[in-house]
Amino acid sequence: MTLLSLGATLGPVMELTKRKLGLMVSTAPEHPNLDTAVGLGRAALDRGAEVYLYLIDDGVAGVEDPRVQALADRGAKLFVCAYGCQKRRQPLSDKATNCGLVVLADIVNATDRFLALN
Amino acid sequence: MAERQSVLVLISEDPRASHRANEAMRIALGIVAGETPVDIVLAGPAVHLLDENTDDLVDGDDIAKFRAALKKLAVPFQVEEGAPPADPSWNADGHPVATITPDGIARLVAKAKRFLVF
Repeated sequence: MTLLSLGATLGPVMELTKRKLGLMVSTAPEHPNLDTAVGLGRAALDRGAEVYLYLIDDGVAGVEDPRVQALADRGAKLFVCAYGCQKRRQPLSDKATNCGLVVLADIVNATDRFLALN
Repeated sequence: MAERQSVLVLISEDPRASHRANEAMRIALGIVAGETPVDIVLAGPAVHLLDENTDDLVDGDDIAKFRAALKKLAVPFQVEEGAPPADPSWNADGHPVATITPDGIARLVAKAKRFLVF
């Protein structure tokens, strides 16, 4: 998965226009999972897909990470687990939608592909 | 909204050493609450999520709370064959459990459309 982050690709035959990619990251920003998620998200956006990134557990620390915000600036929908922030005494950020697991369940259900990076 | 897909939550983290087993269970609960079908598999040391004494578990209070909620919703745990401890107090709350073999886990993987692996 780490290799994917270097030049992320979702495959040459995959038509993603108007399709939805859901990503969940539960690891801290320094873990390679975030690079992988950002790489996949960027590749999906390049192909016209909608991207939903949900940060949870230790992943909430990455909400204001420049890599994540760059993805959001390109149109990715960014969500962060409010419970995870509260547990870590991390202030809620206005750079993402602070929400609960119902939103994650919606993303799981509503996306064409869902990847959890744990 | 796309058709609801079954979600497999496979937990192998040790709740005696990491908070991540509890977090996985919490996420599973959130998805179930969204009325999405979920299969929860406890593999290896993750079976300690059903220890009677939660004082020795990371986030033990939360574990007791979340597993009680899952029990109330009649969501069973599928526990890997041979993983439960011999301690008779294990699963003292009588959470519905079923034993699953590695082949059985493979069948669940084949059936599921979404995966959360901790």
